[in-house]
Amino acid sequence: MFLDISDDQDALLTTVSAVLARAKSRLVLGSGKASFDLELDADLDKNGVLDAASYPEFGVSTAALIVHEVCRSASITEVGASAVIRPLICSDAPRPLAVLTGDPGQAVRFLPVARAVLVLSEAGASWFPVSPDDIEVVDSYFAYPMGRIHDPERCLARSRSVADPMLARRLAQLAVAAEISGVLQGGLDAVVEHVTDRRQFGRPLGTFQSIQHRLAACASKIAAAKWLAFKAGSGSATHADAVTALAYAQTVVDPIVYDLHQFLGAMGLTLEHPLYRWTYRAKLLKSEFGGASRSNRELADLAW
Amino acid sequence: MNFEWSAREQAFRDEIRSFLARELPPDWEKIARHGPGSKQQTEFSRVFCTKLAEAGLLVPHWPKEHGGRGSSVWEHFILGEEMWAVGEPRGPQYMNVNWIGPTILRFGTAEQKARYIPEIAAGNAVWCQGFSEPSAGSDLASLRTRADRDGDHFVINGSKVWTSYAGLAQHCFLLARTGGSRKDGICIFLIPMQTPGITVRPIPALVGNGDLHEVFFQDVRVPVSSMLGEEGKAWSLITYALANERIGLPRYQLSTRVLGEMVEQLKANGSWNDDIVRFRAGQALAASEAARMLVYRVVDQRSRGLPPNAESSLARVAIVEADHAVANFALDFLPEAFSGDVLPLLKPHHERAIAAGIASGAAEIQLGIVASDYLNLPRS
Ligand SMILES: Cc1cc2nc3c(=O)[nH]c(=O)nc-3n(C[C@H](O)[C@H](O)[C@H](O)COP(=O)(O)OP(=O)(O)OC[C@H]3O[C@@H](n4cnc5c(N)ncnc54)[C@H](O)[C@@H]3O)c2cc1C
Repeated sequence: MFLDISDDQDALLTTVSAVLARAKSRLVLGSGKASFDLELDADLDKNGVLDAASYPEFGVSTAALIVHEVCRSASITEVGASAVIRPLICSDAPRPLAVLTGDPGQAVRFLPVARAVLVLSEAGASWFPVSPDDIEVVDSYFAYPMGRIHDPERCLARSRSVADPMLARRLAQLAVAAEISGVLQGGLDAVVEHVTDRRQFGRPLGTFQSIQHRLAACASKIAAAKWLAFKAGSGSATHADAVTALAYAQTVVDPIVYDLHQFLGAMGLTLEHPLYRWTYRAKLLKSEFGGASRSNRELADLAW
Repeated sequence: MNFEWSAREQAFRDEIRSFLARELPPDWEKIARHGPGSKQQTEFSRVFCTKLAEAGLLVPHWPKEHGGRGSSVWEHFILGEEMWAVGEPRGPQYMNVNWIGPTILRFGTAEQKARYIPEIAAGNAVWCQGFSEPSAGSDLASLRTRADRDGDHFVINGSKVWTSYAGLAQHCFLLARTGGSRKDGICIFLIPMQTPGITVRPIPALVGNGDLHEVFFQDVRVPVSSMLGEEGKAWSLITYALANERIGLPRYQLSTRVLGEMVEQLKANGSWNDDIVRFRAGQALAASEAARMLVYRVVDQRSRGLPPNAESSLARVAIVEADHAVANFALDFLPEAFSGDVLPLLKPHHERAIAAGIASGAAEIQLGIVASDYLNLPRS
């Protein structure tokens, strides 16, 4: 066992940090909720960090670590599917990727910017390339660009199946778990900063025990979600490990998102503060794969 | 990152499992049902721990000259996991193994080591921990029990409360004050419970028979040589002892074991087809696995020689949640199993769960530590 960042991973994270710092300098707040940083997407790709899962010295745990760190940033890009699934399942698919797990006509995150769609269903897994003509952009309630496929049947007709659909599903579940731990961590970081600086009643908000305890409880849940996701990427991990990570992460979203918004006060309800960029990603991620209820049941079925 | 067990660790786990398969008697779980402080379990632990000791599995992490085999931090932890997975048959002796023995080994005089260590390593010593007092619970540094010097003795006066195992213990790891205030002036005494002037009164409780007691000290004379460490400087030893105490609890092993047994029952009675039952079972399992991961983080840091930090509090918070998730699942879906012998470990699990957020430092104290030392929130 070695439950820490290795030197190699640390070097990779240094690259990721530099990429994210460039993204932060471009970040403009205050406009619409849905957002996508195409430059960040290209920068991550160019620096090779999205391929880590396929390198023996790194593997899927490292990909989950990258996903966690990128999602911790207020800048939004497609990293979960590209870092965790694509290198092992469909490395020839162009990216960004959108992942379709339910009704092919439903609104899906990243579709307006996606160049390929990965389809995961009971029947198997496949992917097909898409162009903007295939997509109808929908008004997004979440902090992701959302879209719908005009003609799912036509797109599905050109899909190519992937070799190991069970692995594809497992990696997709793990990717969402790592995304959730990352966005919740990013939100927590921002709220900790806020309650440290903001003073009321003559003292920083963060000195009030009710706030301290609830943020500490959030921290424990987020740390656990993160390590469960990393563990689910290890060499001996099973499908149950990925579903454990997903089920746990989806379960903790609601109480954490509530607390994060609560302690930012009215500021957290504005588009001037980036909090929504984390919480309105978490609010969609918690419903992936049928949501916490389905994921916990899937875990029970796998475990027993 | 590496989440794999080494071949040596796996072999060690297998060794413990074969020992348990061989040595745990068929009626063990019925004995465990009486609770960790019960007479039944304490007596059982004396026989069981002697066998563990003979197999080199009681104190494997201790140095060879004291009965150990130089096992690693992870191996010590694996031992704890396997014990908890079957309901902790070491009973009160887990304390000796995890922190009382190691603290004496680290800070004790040659005489103290010679007197106490062989007995602990042989598996038939029962100790109790005399820390909490009526007015010193979470705020341990406010303890008032006095130890006044009288020639080559100390005379101890005061009282302790919630002292587990005190009714059956031979020795007490006692905190008392020779002077000073708060953390300054506290001393540790290693004293026989048979010393004149000590009175033990059991406290009837929800956590099983024999777990909670009051202990009164009236003019209890103990030789100066019974003091562990330097006079008035015990706080750093206590910190060392508690750091050892707090990682020694892989309670999620018992939680997942009990959860698995409940699932078997629910399958048998047809309730397992209910989506809500499976949803809640999955949730309780995920909470237990979450606790496991945070505990593993702490053990890993310890195995690398890093100093204890707020991550052990982060883990404690998750442990409390996992214990409660499993205990509440039982209450919701199998209340009838609390009576009778179908699931004997359910009751001791429940009793431990209701104490999990209080014993060894309340959950709120852990949250406070996370807030200040992990999140670095401003102090009031
Ligand atoms: C089953 C069991 C076995 C035990 N065995 C032993 C033993 O063998 N030896 C021994 O010495 N002690 C033992 N204890 C005592 C244990 O260490 C204390 O119960 C614990 O330290 C809390 O102290 P208290 O019960 O006096 O609660 P208090 O300190 O009175 O606190 C009550 C509650 O108030 C809250 N609280 C307290 N302080 C704060 C704060 N600063 N901020 C926010 N909230 C706070 C917490 O929720 C806490 O649970 C045992 C306890 C239990 C339940």
